[in-house]
Amino acid sequence: MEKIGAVMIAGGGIAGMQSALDLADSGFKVYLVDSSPTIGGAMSQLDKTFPTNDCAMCIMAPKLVETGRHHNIELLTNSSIKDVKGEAGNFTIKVTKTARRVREDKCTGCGICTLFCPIEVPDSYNKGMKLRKAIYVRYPQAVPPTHTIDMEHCIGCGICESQCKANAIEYAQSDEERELNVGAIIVSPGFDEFNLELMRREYGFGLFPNVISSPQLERMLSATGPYRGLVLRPSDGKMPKKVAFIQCVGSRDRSIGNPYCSSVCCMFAIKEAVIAQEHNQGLQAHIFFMDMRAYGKEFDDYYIRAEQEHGILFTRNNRIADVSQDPKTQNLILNYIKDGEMKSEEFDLVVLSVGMVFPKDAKNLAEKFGINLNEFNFCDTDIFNPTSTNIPGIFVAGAFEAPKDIPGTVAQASGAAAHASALVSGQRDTLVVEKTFPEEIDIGGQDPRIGVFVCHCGINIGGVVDVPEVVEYVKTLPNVVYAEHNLYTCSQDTQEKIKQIAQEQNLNRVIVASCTPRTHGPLFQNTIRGAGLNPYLFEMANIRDQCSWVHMHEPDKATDKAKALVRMAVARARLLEPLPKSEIEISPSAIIIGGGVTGMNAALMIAEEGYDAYLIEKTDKLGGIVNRLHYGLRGEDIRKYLTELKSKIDSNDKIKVYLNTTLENFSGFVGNYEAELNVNGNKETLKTGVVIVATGGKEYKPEEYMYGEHDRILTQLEFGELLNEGKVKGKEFVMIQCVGSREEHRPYCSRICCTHAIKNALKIRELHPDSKVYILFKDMRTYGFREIYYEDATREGVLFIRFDNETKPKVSKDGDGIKIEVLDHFIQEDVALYPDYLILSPATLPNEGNYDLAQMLKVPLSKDKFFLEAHMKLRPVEFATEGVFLAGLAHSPKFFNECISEANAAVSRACTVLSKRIMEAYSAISVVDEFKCIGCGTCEEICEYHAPSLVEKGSGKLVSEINKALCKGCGACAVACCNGAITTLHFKNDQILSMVESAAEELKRESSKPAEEAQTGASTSGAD
Amino acid sequence: MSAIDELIEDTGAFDCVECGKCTSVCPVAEINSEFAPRLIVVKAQAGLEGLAKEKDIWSCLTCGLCNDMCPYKVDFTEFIRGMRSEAVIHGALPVCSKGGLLQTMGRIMTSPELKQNRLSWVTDDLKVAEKGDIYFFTGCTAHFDYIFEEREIKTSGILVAAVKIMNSAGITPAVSNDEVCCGHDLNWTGNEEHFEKLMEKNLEVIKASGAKQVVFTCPEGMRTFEFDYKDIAGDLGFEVLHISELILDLIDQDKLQHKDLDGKVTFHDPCRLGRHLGIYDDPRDMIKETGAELVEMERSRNKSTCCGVSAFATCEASSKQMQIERLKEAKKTGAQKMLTFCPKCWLHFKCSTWKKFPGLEEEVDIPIEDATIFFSKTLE
Repeated sequence: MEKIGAVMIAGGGIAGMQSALDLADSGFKVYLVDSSPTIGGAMSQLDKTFPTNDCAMCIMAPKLVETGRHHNIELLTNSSIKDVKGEAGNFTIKVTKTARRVREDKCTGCGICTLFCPIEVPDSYNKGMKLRKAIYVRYPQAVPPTHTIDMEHCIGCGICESQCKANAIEYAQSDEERELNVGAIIVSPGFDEFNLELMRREYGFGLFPNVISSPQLERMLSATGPYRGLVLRPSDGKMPKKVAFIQCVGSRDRSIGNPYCSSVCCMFAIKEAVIAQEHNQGLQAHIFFMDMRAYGKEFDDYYIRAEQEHGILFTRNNRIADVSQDPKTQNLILNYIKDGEMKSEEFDLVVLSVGMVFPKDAKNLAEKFGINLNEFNFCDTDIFNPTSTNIPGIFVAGAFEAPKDIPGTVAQASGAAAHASALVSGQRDTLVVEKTFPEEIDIGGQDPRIGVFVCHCGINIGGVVDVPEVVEYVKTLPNVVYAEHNLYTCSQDTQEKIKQIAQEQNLNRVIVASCTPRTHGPLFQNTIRGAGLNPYLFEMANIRDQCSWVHMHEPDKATDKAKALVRMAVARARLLEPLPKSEIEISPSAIIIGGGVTGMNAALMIAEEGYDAYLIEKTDKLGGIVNRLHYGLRGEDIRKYLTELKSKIDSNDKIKVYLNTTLENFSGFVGNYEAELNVNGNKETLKTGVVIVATGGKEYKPEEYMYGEHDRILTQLEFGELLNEGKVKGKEFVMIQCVGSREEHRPYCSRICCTHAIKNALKIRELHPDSKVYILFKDMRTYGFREIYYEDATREGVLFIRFDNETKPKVSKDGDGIKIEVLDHFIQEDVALYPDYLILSPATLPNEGNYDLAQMLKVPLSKDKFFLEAHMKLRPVEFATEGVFLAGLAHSPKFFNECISEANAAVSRACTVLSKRIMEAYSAISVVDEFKCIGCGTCEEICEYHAPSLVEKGSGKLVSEINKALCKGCGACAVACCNGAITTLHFKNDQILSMVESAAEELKRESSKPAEEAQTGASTSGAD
Repeated sequence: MSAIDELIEDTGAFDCVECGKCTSVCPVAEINSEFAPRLIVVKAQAGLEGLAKEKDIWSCLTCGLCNDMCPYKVDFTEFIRGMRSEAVIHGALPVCSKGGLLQTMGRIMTSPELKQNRLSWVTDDLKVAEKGDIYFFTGCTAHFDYIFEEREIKTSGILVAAVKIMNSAGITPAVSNDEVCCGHDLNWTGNEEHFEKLMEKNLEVIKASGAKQVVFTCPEGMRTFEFDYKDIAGDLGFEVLHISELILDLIDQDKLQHKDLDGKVTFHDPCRLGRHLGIYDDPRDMIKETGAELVEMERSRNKSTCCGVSAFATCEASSKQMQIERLKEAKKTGAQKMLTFCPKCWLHFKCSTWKKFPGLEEEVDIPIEDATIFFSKTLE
């Protein structure tokens, strides 16, 4: 059967969006199907994200918009899958699009209909805490912004139809059948929340008004939530002082059939506690939990900060059994144990940290696609193929595979996209259309006509800065011909509006006063390109970070500062110039640094995508640390897998392996990198389009617990090898966890060691049924389905003894044997153990070579010396430097399957570069005035990117020449140039100085106005 | 494998991950901070010597609140029951009420020479038979009249009421003078040997009656048949039924005509009936059938607290405290009566209302009545 260069994605949450963008940017047509009327999934309901406290909507909105308007992505919202036929490479899918009764091609999302609709119903987006109308859009930034009539509640009064200026209401609209022809399928339906009604009796959910779920709290914390970001008690609207979080509700609970761990709730609760304390002054959060599972990158730092800096109270080993209510105050009473004493404490609000369960649609999808589910109705995968289902050509990503956080989801989404695109890589670019913009308008000779759009950002800005006042002020500035304010300037409807207004008003400069250009600049630049304007005619004022955030408690001053910032932006905008675009050719190959399992998978996937892969390994063999692993948690044969992987690499003629090779030098820019290799002492140079860093990590050699002083004190890896060789003899085994992890000098969690210990403990029990195994631990962090094996270990009789940094076990020699003394917290007694083996679970360390490599590649390291990705949530496998990617342990400690997901993810991201033969380059670069240049070479010395170089010009004069592709436009050379010969485009002296002058300007115009006008203009600031 | 190890494995005690849920609901731990169910499990797992001699295993009320809460389904009450058998082997014995009289009675009843006068409560107006489809197991309920004479309650009234109800629906239940104690108290105080002998006797008696259904007013007896007898003897050959289930059945089939009562009552769930047997709705439905208004206490159904003593062992100061708390709760509902279904709950609560506590007279002053007796009043 002929293969089809299109992919269908079922589920438009953050996973589906990421897969869609990857594929659409790599030359494939994408159909993104979602059962909801809008895409965005669960992430759209979040207020903030851990561990960076980024605003979820702020980081997601650009992706939403990009997905919504990508010319290669077709959204099929409100749609469900009816039938699937065909096989890998060529599937035919029947999709039913349920009638919205509002026409997508006509609705502008203006919302007039919702103002007039007489029917109010509880809003599920806000978890029932707010009302919405029967005609509605799920959330303000929704993509598509098209409204939907909720037929369950609509009374058919026809008011919306009479009010809709766009004539978009089509009451008689019927369901639509679509047939899609695609080469591959990605299933990413996400997850559902555990049904808290089942906890009604235990925790009074639905019975006591002040018992809420963690997603409900999240909505409260959100600016667009029911109380505009404040946490209030549903019973009386009062601000709660004492808030309790109950963990593991619906997770780690065999009695309700969900024995697995939901993986995210610990961090989710800490984040909510921190943010709630920020939003409500005087609020005290108290988290009751079993183990604190802060296993991800810099999660433990967040946990420590929450406890020490934010003063959040943590009470461990306390699973609250029931919640009772004081009927008078509707306060809630919790019993718990602290220091061996039973305590009874009253709280104003109780938050249930609700667990994740399989998505509602799981069984239907499984049936339609024929994919296997595991015993908990999540999609079944194995560790070697974490994003593959049992059906070839159908891949899976996100929480449907196992409960996981956003970066894990995004990495899987890209990983699944790599599989999908590799399958139909021969059909790349066959079904896509080129992204086109209208021809650029020549603005030469025109006076500046500036349009200003000031953003409320919900209440993020509008709650502090008086936005309408800023707009009124802006209208008085010279050359401003248009100004307005928007609830969310980044939402798709507003973007369309900007385009429309730019055309109507003949704008030739556009200013958005909202958040940071770092995340939103490119978005608005593309918006104005859509209106025929050069992207460099756009200017942004950051009145969120610099006004509403930092001056949260001084609204008047924040408003004044916002005015000043916008005034400065206007001053600069007058002088902005269109810049020409330049293009870069892309070399269709990748260098992968590191020949471990991550690097091997990346190389193989690059080759399957149709590009050349150069796999560089510093030792004499491939496989890395996995050479020392033998079996997986479920008994998977890792040795066999590695052998097969090696032979696949050997037999692939698109992969060239360089053993005993190191990177000596690295230069160039995206699409055109040049790597100097040292291959067994010989120099070799490679040209390549992209680089993937997969350098792995290593096991810490313990300096504690008498490691190295006794031949039966081993690390987990050493012991695993011995166990595999059948050389272990003994009856009593002790394992100590967190050796070198979660210490003051190395605060991070190594993530894998708990599971590694459980795996080896179960193996010991299997091989030596009479043996006794003790695991001494700080927190058991067997997240996701790994929890089942923890449970197995407890059932197998493995004994767990908890310790903390103050009560670490003491190891000494006992004759020829080993003696371990440890305080058992529960029985408050010192226990002495005399094991045959002491097995240490050491930290996973970053490689020593990371620093040098980071220098060479010009990429950052985290404070723990792992490589630091571009964004912890949404860009987990790429660096800010274009064309440089990362995967696996180089990023942070992680599991086998996670490494493979990330390897494929890095390839998927790389393909968005490699698939373009020609890429647009950055235009705001530095240029040299050859007449002024004296050839001193200062610029050459100062540039971090090696862009300038001295060249001899005709007259024999040395002048500086700047490589357009290397220059990042940082402006360092322009500042350093002693003769003023270098100008950084878009940041010219007059452009900058005009802003400085404008900043220094007092509000002169304001004071020169007639008294009456000035009063209205400054009503809030003048009130006192 | 040692007996304790086996017990740990059978009851899933190894599954304990020390989450602490059990301790925070335990009525004993609420009063005695030294006591914690998970602590006993942890100690047992660690194999700490002398655990079997610990007082704690006798302090446990086996009320099952912890079982009901445990996310890992550890069968804690069964674990305690097993540990007690071990304890007895190690010579650690509980302090039993009335000098162990009730346990002694149980042991005496295993004697082949036993001669009883068990049916003295059967008055002339009651119709009973030797054989029949329905056997009414009365257990020790009638004996409590004499043993706890000072408490001025007639537990035999429960039996009379039950027979009246059955008669009124046209049923003549089989009863037997040869029936013996069900063995519940022996089983829960570590005496498995005598327990099994009692079981054998009872099963023989019932077999002889030809019954297909056995009705209980006593939740302990019913629990013992349903779980402990079946554990040892397998299928019993008859169905086990609670009086409330039977009454509702009879009403359903229009066989039981009754009048309505007035008033407001509350209901205390006996642990054996509720958490052990899972019967929560039938007693409530039955009470509602009387026409009386049923108001719930703050802690009801599976959250219901304990009457303070089980198996007539280890009646402590904490028992009294639990009873008082419960009575206060009942009083707070505004009900005129607290109903329950277990003769022992009745006795235990009566202990706290009968000798009034100085200062608490008002708060705990609520009449307690057996629910079977309460229902029988609708027939008058």
